[in-house]
Amino acid sequence: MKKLLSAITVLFISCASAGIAHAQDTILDDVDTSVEPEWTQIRVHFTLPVNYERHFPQEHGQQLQIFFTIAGLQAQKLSLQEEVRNVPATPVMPAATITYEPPLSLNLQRDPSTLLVRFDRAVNYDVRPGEDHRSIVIYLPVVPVETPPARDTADRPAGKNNPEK
Amino acid sequence: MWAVTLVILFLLFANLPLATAVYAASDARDNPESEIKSGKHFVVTLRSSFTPISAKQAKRDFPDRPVYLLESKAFGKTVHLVRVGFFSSYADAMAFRRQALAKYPAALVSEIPANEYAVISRTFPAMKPAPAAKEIKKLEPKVAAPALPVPAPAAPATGAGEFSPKALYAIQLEESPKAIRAAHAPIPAALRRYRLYVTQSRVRNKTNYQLKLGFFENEQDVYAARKQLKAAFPGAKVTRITLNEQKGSVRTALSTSAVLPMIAAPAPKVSPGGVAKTPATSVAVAPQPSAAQMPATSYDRDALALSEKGRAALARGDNITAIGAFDRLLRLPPNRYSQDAQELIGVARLRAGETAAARKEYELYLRLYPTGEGSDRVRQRLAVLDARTAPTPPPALKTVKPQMQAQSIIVGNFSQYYYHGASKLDSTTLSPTANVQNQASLTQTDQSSLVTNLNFMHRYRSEEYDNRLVIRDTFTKNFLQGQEDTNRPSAIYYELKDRQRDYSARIGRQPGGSGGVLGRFDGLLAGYNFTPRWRVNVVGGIPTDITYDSHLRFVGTSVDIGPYADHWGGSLYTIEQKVDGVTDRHAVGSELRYFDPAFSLYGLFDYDTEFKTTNITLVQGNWTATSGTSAHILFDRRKTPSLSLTNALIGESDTSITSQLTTKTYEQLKQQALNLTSTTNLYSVGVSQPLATSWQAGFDFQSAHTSSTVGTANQPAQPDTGTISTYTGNLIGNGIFTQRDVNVVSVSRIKGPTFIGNSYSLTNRLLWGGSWSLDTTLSWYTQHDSSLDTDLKRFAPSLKPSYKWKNNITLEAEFGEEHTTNTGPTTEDKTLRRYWSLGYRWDF
Repeated sequence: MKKLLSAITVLFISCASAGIAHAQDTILDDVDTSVEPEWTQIRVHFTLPVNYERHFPQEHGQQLQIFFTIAGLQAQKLSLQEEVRNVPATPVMPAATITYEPPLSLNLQRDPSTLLVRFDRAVNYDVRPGEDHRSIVIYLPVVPVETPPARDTADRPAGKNNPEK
Repeated sequence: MWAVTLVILFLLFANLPLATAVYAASDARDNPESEIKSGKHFVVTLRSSFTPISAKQAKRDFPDRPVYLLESKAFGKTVHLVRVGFFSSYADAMAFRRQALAKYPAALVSEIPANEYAVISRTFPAMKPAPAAKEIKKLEPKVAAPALPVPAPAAPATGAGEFSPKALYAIQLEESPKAIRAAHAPIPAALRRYRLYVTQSRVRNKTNYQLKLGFFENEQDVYAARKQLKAAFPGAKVTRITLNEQKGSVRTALSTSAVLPMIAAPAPKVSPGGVAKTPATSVAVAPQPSAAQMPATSYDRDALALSEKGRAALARGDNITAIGAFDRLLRLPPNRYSQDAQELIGVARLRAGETAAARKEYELYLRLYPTGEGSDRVRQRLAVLDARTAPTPPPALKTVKPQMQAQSIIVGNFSQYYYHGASKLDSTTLSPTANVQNQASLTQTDQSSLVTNLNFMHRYRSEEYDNRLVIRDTFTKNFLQGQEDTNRPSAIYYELKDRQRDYSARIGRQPGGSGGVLGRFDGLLAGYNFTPRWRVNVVGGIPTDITYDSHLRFVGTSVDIGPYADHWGGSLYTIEQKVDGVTDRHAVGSELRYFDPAFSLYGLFDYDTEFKTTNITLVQGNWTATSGTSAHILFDRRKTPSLSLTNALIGESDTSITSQLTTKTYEQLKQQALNLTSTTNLYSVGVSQPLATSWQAGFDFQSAHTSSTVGTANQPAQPDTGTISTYTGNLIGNGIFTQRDVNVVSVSRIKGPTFIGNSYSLTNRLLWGGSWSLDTTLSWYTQHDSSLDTDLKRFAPSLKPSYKWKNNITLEAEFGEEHTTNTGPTTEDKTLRRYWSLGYRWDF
């Protein structure tokens, strides 16, 4: 599989190398995930400083929208196209697709951009700006599947808010 | 300016309750638990959640170990944890974790603070694990926290060896057929560091109680101690004890400073203001019968009235009245309502912000009522209270990461989308004098292209190295005549990080944006942490976003500093960029960062030493309250385009600096660059507030201004834009039309020197089943320009369905229209553009 992907990559680059144009700045950089003892974090890196504004829904859902502005050093060079990164699933985190969407007005300086995060299932989360101001971090509490006895239905407070259970 | 004031008032209004919470937390911090011993303790955190969770399953799974719930603070939010303890070494905890992983795949080892260990240890006296002999040796010296029930803090286990398995001597001070609740004579001060405890024996159906003092390792020490005790306890005798007795003594320990006669029920002192003071804790207290066992008394009627008054006050939040009522009840002789009142006064004190007093009320409860359902509940309250008041170290400090196994992953996506767009323009010219209309139509296909995207990352991580190869490329195949195919490789780089030696290097095409690098470049970026808080970086390369017929290259260095004082960090940099051998840009700058889970601030300052002027001044920040309210600010003043000598090439047909220098001096070119560079000022402030679980409202204000340029012979001067102010309100809701949809309604008013615009948009994103999603957008924009007497109207609906096939293939389409009408004094242009796209994305 890795060889196949590497071969596709090399083929793609070699076929596309003719007529190389100057690159427009993309907004999304890498997406890192890490598992801490008490939560999983998805860190979305940006190529430029960003200012987190707000997110919604506040802490639970399958679709998460994060609004932010870009402190663009050269706004006219920024890409106005959608950019997509995917996050593979892990035993403690569902897969997610992260889409950068420029504002409807295409006025990056005036209107906030959106980061749309679609998880494979509804999750609890929290969103914070990264310490480096070039990233936004999504925290997900580690909640593995629990299987209480069938007769013990009263003792599942977490299940009320975790449809994945 | 009034908008800023409005936002500040909004914030103050929205967060009045927050101020109270902060005060309470501050009070809690002023009363730290003082009975904490040092030492490392490990637990296995089985699971965590932002919502309350249950530990019942874990208790069933691990009946022989303490399983407990804990609230922790992480990134400003409350996290509920289920933990199982305790392990004296990381290796033991890891061994346990490996067994638990099958059922708890997220189980991870955590090192806990000493106070958490102390609190949980004493709330689970009966849950002490029965470790193997090897484990006992490790744990024994640490089982030193005061245990319950304890009339007063038990003797601290500071003496070396007193609680070791070798210390198996004790002195029996007295023996009685009645329960012993305190010594009848004071223990000499020199011996108060030893544990005073009670044992019981049963011979021929008769129970005897022994008061003992321990523990001593050798006969010399124990007999010397007995000698000191002989005067007060003439019957004192030395005994050998078992290890189990030593361990069990934690549950029956008494105060070495308390003596009989005991005080049955201490009456809290009442301050002149009528609010009861914290009950004394240094007196011996006899356990009281529970409410069920308490006989009816003549005080019950008064007690009932006070209980009901206190409960009602507590329910309506009048904590001071509740404290007064429960205090008066507790000053009555013991009655049926005393037990509940003792718990509820703790609740009331806690809610009133009297954290230390609340803790003492709970502790008194446990001394008076050490067993039963109520005591379990109060222990939980106390555990939560202690955990809350305990200083929580930053998550990164208290976590112990397991050793990383080498792993190789490939992640990314490959997508192909076909885009098609067609426009139709109907132009009507109205000549009022001749009263004649001329119409013209133009139809054309303006887009027909296949866009192929590759986003590929191969990452290899081990304990020592973190390597990644990143390739991002966009290839556009144009099918329209006159439009060339383009390939835009936005990133092709290899990165190596040595995790142990703390250096990194990245080579290839990569994004810039830090250390004074203003954009994407081909080159090398390398850095080395020569101390944990100081890192030096070097960068060099060729900017890629250049369309001039000139050759650019740059070198720079930067130093990253921090974090200092937990929150502060920053960097200093210098960079020099050359174009055709002369200085294009020579800058020094700094970044300043403050980060806190609730508040963060970022500042960037870039000064060009060649042009001797400031290029960028940027300050941005945001704040998030626990209530969900958030606010953001931005101040951005910068040269546009970013200041460099190549700005002098704007509008020139000859875009070679070398050629330009044949006709102009370097200083003339610098001046030309300054003449073609404007200054942009941008101010922005905004706030958002959750209105309910499903709604959030936000308001933003922005002011932007771009100065005029002088211009050159080949590039006309640009006029000053004037101040353009934008006021935006938005409302976001979910679960409105379907259970999982998210809706954004946004209204903006844009006010410029010569125009006023209004923008309205609605976006609905819904999920359908497990595979379908549909994004619907409606936007409407109107603008009136008073200087040209024109009106602009634009309506743009779009639909974007997608279908996820086999987990990693997504089929997407988009259909949209733009209806634009531009009406002037003599013309009316109507444009209709229809566009659609169809494609797929393969995630790997």
